[in-house]
Amino acid sequence: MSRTFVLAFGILLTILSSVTGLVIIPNWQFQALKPVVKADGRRYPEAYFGDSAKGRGVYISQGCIYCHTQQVRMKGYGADIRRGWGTRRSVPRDYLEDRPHQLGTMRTGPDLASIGARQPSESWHALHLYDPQLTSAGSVMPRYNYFFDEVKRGQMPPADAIRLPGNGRGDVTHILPNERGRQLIAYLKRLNQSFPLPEANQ
Amino acid sequence: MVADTKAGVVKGAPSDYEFRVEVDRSSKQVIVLYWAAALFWLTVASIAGIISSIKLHNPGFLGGIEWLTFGRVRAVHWDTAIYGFGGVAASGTLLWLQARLCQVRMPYTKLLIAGGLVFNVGILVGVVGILMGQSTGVETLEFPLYAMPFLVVPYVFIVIANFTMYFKKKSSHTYVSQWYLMAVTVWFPVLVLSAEACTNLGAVDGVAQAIANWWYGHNVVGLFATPTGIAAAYYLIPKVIGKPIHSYHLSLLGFWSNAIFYNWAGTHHLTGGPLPAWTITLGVVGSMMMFIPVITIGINHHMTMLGSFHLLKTSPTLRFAVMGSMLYTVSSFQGALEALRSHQEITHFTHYTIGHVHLGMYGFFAPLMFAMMYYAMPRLMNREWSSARLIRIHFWCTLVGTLLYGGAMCYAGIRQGMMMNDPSIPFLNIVQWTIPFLMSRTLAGLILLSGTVAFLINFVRIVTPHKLTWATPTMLDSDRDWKQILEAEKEAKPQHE
Amino acid sequence: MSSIHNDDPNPNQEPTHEADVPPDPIFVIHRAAMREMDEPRDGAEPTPVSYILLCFAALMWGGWYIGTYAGTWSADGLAERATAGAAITAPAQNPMELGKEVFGVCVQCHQENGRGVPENYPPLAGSEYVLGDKRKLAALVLRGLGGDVTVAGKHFNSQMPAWDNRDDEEIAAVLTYIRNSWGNKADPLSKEFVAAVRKETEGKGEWRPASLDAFAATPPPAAPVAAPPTAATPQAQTK
Ligand code: HEC
Ligand code: HEC
Repeated sequence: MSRTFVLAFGILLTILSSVTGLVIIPNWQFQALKPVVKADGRRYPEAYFGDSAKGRGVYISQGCIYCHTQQVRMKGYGADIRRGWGTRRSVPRDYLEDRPHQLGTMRTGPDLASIGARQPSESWHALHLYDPQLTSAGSVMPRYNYFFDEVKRGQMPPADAIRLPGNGRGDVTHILPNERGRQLIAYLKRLNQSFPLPEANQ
Repeated sequence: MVADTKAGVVKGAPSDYEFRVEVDRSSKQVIVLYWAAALFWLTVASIAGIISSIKLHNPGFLGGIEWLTFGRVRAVHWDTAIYGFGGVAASGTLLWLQARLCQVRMPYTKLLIAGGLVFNVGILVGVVGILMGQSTGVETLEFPLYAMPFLVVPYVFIVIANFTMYFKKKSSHTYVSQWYLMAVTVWFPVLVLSAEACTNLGAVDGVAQAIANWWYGHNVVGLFATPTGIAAAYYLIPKVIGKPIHSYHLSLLGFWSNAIFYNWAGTHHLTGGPLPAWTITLGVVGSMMMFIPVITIGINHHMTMLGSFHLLKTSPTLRFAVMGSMLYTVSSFQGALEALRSHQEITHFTHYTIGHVHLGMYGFFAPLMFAMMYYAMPRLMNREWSSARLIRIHFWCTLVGTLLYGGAMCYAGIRQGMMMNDPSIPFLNIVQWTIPFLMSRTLAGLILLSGTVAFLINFVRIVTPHKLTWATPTMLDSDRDWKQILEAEKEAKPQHE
Repeated sequence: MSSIHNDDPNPNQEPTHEADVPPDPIFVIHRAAMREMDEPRDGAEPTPVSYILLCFAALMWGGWYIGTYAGTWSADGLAERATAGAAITAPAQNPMELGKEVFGVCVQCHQENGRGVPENYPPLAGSEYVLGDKRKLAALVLRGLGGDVTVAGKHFNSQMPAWDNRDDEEIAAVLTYIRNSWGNKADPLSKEFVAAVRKETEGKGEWRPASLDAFAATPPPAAPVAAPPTAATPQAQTK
C-alpha cells in the first residue's frame, strides 16, 4: 500500500507544482499590472465596448486565430517590427482587457496586434474581408462574404456602399458591410499597440 | 527466447489463461464500443483535416459558407482528433490494460457503456457548437461550455473504474504500464478543471490566460495521450515477443523524469510573446529535460526488442507498436529542440509546429492505439482479423502518410520562418511559396485517410459475425483476405436454406 | 499456413493448418487468449552509472539555463538577460538598405517592382508624387492619402493608410529608397526633414489630392530643416 501512496501522491505533486509555478504565480505577479492613464485622460488599454466588443466575438467565432497572431516579438528576435507589424514589442499590459486571449500561434497571415494602426481604412478592410483576392491577389485567406450585403449590377447603390475595383466581381458592383461586418471592422480598427509603454523598451 | 517462452507457458498456463478469458469477456462490450467510437472520430477528424488542408491552398474550396469556414473546420479537426479519437481510444486502452494487468473483471460495465455514449454525444455537441460559431476561442478548449458536462461526468466514471480495478488487483506488483495509467487518471482531471477555470470560466485574463491555455494545450498531449501511448508500448512489446522489459530501473527513471519535466514545457508555445522571461525559460528547460525520459524509455524499449526484430515481418501488433515507439523518440527529440529560443525564432508561427504535432500524434500515439486494437480485438471478439492485405495497407499508409506529412511541413516551416524573418521578402510571396507543400499535405492526409478506411473495413469485419473461422492469428505475410469470407458465406448459404 | 507465423509464439497450441482446428471446444472458443504469452514482467538490468551521470549533466545544464535566462523573475521582466537591451540596438544602416527593408510594408500594394496594380494601387516608379516636392511626399506618406489621384497619367481612387507609426529615420529611408529605385533618381531625405514635416502636419488627417496640393503650396514654416532633432513626436521617442 505504501508504494501506491508514493505513486499517487508523487503524481499529484508533479502536476500541482506546475499549476502553481506556471499558472498561479504568474497570475499573481500580473495582479500588479494596471492600465496607464494617457495624457488625454483615457486609459490604455481601454476596455472593449460596443461594436468593437461584439466584433471581437465575431473574430473568435470565425476562428481568425488559426491564421493570425496578435503578438509582436521584440526587435532583434524575428522581423516582426521590421515588417511593420508594430512599432514595439507586445507586453503583458497590452492584454489586460483580453478575455479570452487571442495571442495565437500561427502566422499563415500577418500579425494583427496593430492592424488598426497599419490599415485604418474601413473600405480596405471591407473589400479584403469580402474577397481577399480583390486587395491581395494570391492570398489564401477565406472569403467572408456573408458579412456584406451585395449590390448587383443595375441596382442603385446606397450612398455609403463601397465600390468593388475594376468591373466588380461577377454580378456584384458594390458591397455594404452588414451588422457583423461593421462590428468586425470596428474591432480590427481598435487593434492598436502603438501607445508607448515603458516596459516595452527591453 | 525459446526458453523464455517455455518458462512463461509452464508457469502461468492453466489458470492464467482462464482468467484472461474472463477478464476479456467482462470488458468486451465497453472496449469495443470505445474503440469503434474512436475510429469514427478518427475518420471525422481526418476528413475535417483534409478539408482545412485543401482550403489552405484553394481558399475557394467550399468557400463562402460560414459553417465550413477554415477557422471552424480547423478547430473541429483538432478537437475531434484529440478528444474524439485520442480521448476515447486512450480511455478504451486504459480500461482494457488495467483490467488485464490487475487481473480483475471490468467493474461498472453498464455505467462505462452509458458514459461512453454520453461522452461521444458531448463531442458531437461540441463539434456542432463550433461549426455554429460558438467556439470559446481558446485553442484546444474550443468546445462551448455547455458541452463540458457531457465530457467531464463520463470521465469521472472511467477514473473510478480505474481506481476500483487498481485496488482490487490480484498481484502485489505494479507493472510499469499501470504507473502511467494511474498517472493519466490523476493528471487529466486536474488538468482539465484548472485549465477550464482559468480560461473559459474566466478566473484569469490576458497573458496569464494564455499561459494557462498553453500549459494545458501542451499537457493534454503530454500528460494524457503520451502516457497512454507509452503504457501501451510497455505492455505490447514484451507481451508479443515474450520477453521481460529490459530494466525496471530504467522504467522507474523514465516514468518519474517524464512526470516531473513534461508539466513545465507548455510555455514554449509562447516564446517571444508578451510573457515574463522566466515563464518561457522554465518552459524551455522543461522541454529540454525531456531528453532524459525520452532517451531512457527509448533505451528500455529498444533493448527489449533487441534480438526480436525479425518478428516485425509478421506481427501486425508489433509492427505498429515499434513504429510508434521509434517515432516517439524522433518526435520528442524534435519537440525538445524546437523549444530553444534560437530555434523558435525561426519555426514558431510556421507550419513546422503543425508537422511536429502530426509526427507525434499520428506517428507515435495513433500507431500505438492501432497496435492495441490489433492485439486485443481478436481476444475480445474471439475472431481473427479477416484481411492481411488491409492490415498491410493500413500500416504502409500510416507510415508513408506520416512521414510525408511531417517531412513536408517541417521543411516548409523552416523555410517559411526564414523568409518571414527577412523583411525584404513580401508576405504574399511566402504564402505562395508554401502552397506546393500545403498540397503535399493534402496528399498525405488522403493517404492517412485511406489507411483508416482500410482499418475500418477490417474492424467492421471483426465485430460482425461471419462463418469462416481461423485458428491462427492473421499475420502480415498471410494471404488471408475477406473475399475468402464472402466465398465461405456463399458456400454456407445454400446448405442453410 | 505454417506454424512459424507467430504473433504470440506458443508452440503448444499452434495448429498447423486452418482446417486443423482441434476438436477441444475450450480451445475453439478461447484460442486467441490461450496462445498468448504471459503478462509482461520487469527485467532487472542495472542502469549504467555513466548514463546516470549524463542525466545529471543535463540537469546542470537546465540549472545554468534558468540562472542565465530567467530575466528578473517579475511580471515585466520580459528580456531574458539584463544585458539583452544592448544587443538589440540595431547598428546604423545605410539608408538604401534600411529603406528596402521598410519598403517590405509597401510591397503589398505598390508591388516589389514599384509599378503598383492597375486600377487599385498607383505606381511609385516614375510617379510625379515620388520624384516631386519632398515636403509634399513626406506629408503624404506620413498622413495617408485618399480620393481621386492621377499618377503617371492614370486615375486611382482608393485609400492609403497613414504611416506615422514608423519613426523618422525609417520614413526618410523608405522615401530615399523609392526616389532612387526602378529608374527613379532624386535627392535623399534626412530624418530631420521628416521630423519637421511630421511636426508641421501634426493632427492632420488623411489628405485629399486637393488638400495636399494646398498644403504643398503654402510655404514651410521658417527653416524647417534646422528643426532640432528633439522635435520628434512621441511616436519617435518610443523607439
Ligand atoms: C486561412 C488563413 C486565414 C484566415 C482564417 C484568416 N486570414 Fe486574414 N490573412 C491571411 C493571409 C494569408 C493574409 C495575407 C494576405 C492578405 O492580405 O490577404 C491575411 C491578411 C489579413 C489582413 C491584412 C493584414 C495586413 O497586414 O495587411 C487582415 C486585416 C486580416 N487578414 C484579417 C482577418 C480576419 C479578421 C480574419 C477572420 C475573420 C482572418 N483574417 C482570417 C490568412 C487568413
Ligand atoms: C494598403 C495598400 C498600400 C500600402 C501598404 C501602401 N500604399 Fe501607398 N498608396 C496606396 C493607394 C491606394 C494610393 C493612392 C491613394 C488614392 O487613390 O487616393 C497610394 C499612394 C501612394 C503615393 C502617391 C501616389 C504615387 O503612386 O506616387 C505614394 C508616394 C505612396 N503611396 C507611397 C507609399 C509608401 C512609401 C508605402 C510604404 C510605407 C506605401 N505607399 C504603402 C496604397 C498603399
